[in-house]
Amino acid sequence: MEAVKSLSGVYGTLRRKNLKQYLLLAGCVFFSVLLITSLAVMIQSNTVQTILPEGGDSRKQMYAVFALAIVGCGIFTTYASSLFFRSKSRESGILMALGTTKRRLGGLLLGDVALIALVSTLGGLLLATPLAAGLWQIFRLLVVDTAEMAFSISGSGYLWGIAFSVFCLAMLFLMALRFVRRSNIIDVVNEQRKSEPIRDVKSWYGWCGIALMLAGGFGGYFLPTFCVRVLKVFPPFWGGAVYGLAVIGLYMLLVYVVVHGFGRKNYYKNIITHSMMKFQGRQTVRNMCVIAMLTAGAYFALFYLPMLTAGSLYTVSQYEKDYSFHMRADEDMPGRDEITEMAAGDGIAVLNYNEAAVLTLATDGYDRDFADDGSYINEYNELIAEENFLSESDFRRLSGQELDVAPGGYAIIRSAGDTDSVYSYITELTLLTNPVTMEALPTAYQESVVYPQLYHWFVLDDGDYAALARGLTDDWRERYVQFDVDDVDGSYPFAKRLQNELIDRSKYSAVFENYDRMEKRAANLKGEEYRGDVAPELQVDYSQRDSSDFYRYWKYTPKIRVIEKNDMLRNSAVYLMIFAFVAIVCFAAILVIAYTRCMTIALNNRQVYDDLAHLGANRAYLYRSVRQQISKVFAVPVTIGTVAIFALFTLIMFGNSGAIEPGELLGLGIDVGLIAAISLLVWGVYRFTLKKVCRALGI
Amino acid sequence: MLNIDNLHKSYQVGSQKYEVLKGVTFSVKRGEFVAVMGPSGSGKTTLLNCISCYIPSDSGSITLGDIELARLGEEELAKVRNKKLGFVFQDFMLLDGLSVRDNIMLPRIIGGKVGGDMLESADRLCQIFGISHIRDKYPAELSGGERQRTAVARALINNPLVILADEPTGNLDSKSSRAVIDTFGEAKNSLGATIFMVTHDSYAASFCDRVVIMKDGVVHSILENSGDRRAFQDALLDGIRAMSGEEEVA
Repeated sequence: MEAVKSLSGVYGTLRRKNLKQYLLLAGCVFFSVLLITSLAVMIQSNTVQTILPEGGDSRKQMYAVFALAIVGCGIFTTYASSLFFRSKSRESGILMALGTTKRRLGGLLLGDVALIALVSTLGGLLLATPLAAGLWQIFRLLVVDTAEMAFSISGSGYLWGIAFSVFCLAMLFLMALRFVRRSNIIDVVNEQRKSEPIRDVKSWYGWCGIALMLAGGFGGYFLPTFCVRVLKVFPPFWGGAVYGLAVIGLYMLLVYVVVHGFGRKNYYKNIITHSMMKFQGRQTVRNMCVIAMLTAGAYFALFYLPMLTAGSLYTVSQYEKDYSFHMRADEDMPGRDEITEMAAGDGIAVLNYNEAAVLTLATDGYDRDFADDGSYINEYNELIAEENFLSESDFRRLSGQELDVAPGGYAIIRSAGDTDSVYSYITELTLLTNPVTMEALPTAYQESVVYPQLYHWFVLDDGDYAALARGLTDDWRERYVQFDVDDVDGSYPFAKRLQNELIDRSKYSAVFENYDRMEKRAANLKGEEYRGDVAPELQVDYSQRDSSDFYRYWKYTPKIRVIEKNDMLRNSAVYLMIFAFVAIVCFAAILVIAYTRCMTIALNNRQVYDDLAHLGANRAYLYRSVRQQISKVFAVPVTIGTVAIFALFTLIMFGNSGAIEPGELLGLGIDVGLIAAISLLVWGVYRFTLKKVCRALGI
Repeated sequence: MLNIDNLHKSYQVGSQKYEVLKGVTFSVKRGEFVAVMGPSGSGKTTLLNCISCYIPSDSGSITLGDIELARLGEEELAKVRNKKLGFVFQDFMLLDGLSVRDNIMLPRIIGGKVGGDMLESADRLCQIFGISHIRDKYPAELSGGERQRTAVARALINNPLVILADEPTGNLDSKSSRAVIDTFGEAKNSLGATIFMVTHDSYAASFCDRVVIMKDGVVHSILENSGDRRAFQDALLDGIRAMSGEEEVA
């Protein structure tokens, strides 16, 4: 055997012997850089940038999720680094005790760290594009493949990857310097076997934790509503901090579980397990906290899409007509003959064609807002908004439903499953005004009818309709068209052609969903510009007609069943990929943290297990003790994170409308399926970890 | 060789200050084998850590040969640890990734003295301490006694002024303990080594020339070995009994 003759040779020998630790750190950094860079490459690609336009909600949500991924990967790599330095502590302590200077040791350690960081970050950066492109292709192959989904790379995605690599490098170097600078050799030597006992807590601690989690979750969610509706004040800026109570509660609950388990019933039976966990408790609780929060984050990303798609799919399924659209009467829109001819060109026959004239009238209501000083404003305004009105006879003809609106009354058209609370504010109308002649008519809410095609429109008595229509110019009138086709699924080319035709012929209609000329009038009277005309995020761009934002936010988007069904995945594909990606990042971090924590617990307690075996503990007893510890690290935080985020999601769904609507119920059902699938994966990794730990302990 | 003069050391825990060493004074002569005994909390390990330059003292002085340790900076202290001191720890502190011979040579490698005689020196120490047959093995493959003999050989490779040993027999059975103590005797007699050992073990201490008994951070008494090991062990036990009753008797 050849003897080593230099300190760097010694270091090299030790590196080879501890290769696993190096590979673990390098793997974690590589994995994080790879995921962040490929996600950034994907996000910054021209495809995604086109589909999700600048300033739109969807792009903001995408960046919020991207931020979540960065935080997840940041925690993940920092944790992996701390494990690496902990593993280096013994040999560093021995070398320092035998006279190695800090400078020399620092040089060697920084060399190692630089090597790990450079190789792993470069590897991650280089493989990011193949990974992103590969995933994209798999996605196109398995889920949706349209011309818009062609993958293109933008160099700016790499800037994010490089920035994250710089973070990893800086973090590793700072941790290395901090490690070397520690003045006390005894601390360095003892670092690896340092116990971190957690103080004993009373039984109220766990209950208090649960109470704080509930208070934080409910409080954070309901505080803004409570401030507005009850206190009539603007929600305070610190409102979001209420969610912090949930984090404190989570910590307290985990401390309790680590110290006492789930109760004192089997105290003596489980005393070994509890005392071992307690002895390493501080770091275990911290890790479990991170796992619980990452679980919540991962599921948050994952839940978003089923909610989005299930809700839309449900809405589409509620449509009674295959095609419907409305346009201002002063636009040159295709009529019955032109539409029939266009359809025939694609071999499609138009059936049940029907159309109606629609009035756009001003409605009254209360301007409820907050002044700059935070005080609540509740001012009555005779001309607060514009709404669309049909005559009762037109409604009967279009819907085939019986409806008799009394003179002086109005009916609201809603979707099935909508609750009354959604409509509370539009049942308060008392005055309808012709915005051209300013002739007004008192009115009162009569009833609601279900016809999702005309969601959120109003129906008037024929006499009132005629009275209010007098003198109304075409820019305040609309034409509503609905029809079926003989082959819905085969009519996609016709549907796209019709949609493009409608967009091409719209001169005055390039406005967003909530564009309101009454609000514009009010702003102009105050000498202000209307936000709908100037705010970049509220502008509609016809050149972005294939983007999901255009589809969702254009005021005159036609309701075409075949497009909504076929383009649902296309419109959601980008979300699906990005959100799935973030979820992968978070779950990977969770599994690696849980695995490494379990291995650490095992190695730290190796002596205890040897002693227990010497004292006569059989294999079954030792196995049970190991299983209890490992299952606690996996199951407790993952369960808490899952239940908490599912409860919060359900709460949000409930809070939106005061009830869980059928579309939302479908989404929640899909979420439960996802939870089951991922729980199975976590269980698989738990079993793998249990096996590895048992092998490491010789059980 | 080693002079400790009025050494003070305290620890701050929260707002509480714990004075661990309260003016310790004694000296160790060249070629002497000296042990420190005392109950837990008497300050033995803190004293050893101060002499080892692992932790700084508050006041007083530690002089090694003609070097005043308190005046040295970090780099010089590292040099002292490497060239003037040899260390033997309770849990051996061998590097698992290095063979027995590489572990023994480690202080030479750290000190940069990797000249032609390094291998010969290591092999000679292996021979003296009866570990030649395991010199290519790794620590995990050795018994506790073999590991500690390796650690003693490592402590001697740089011909230090003093070997500092912290409970060297603490993790060993009686047979291995005896082997390690014999190793110290061999180092003292064959190589003229000076050994300063902290121990709880009155049997191990009975092989020393002198034993410093500490209590509550001060030197309680110093007992000298007249040559009769059994009588010296009895004297040590009597001294400890007189100081602290029946507790702490090994």
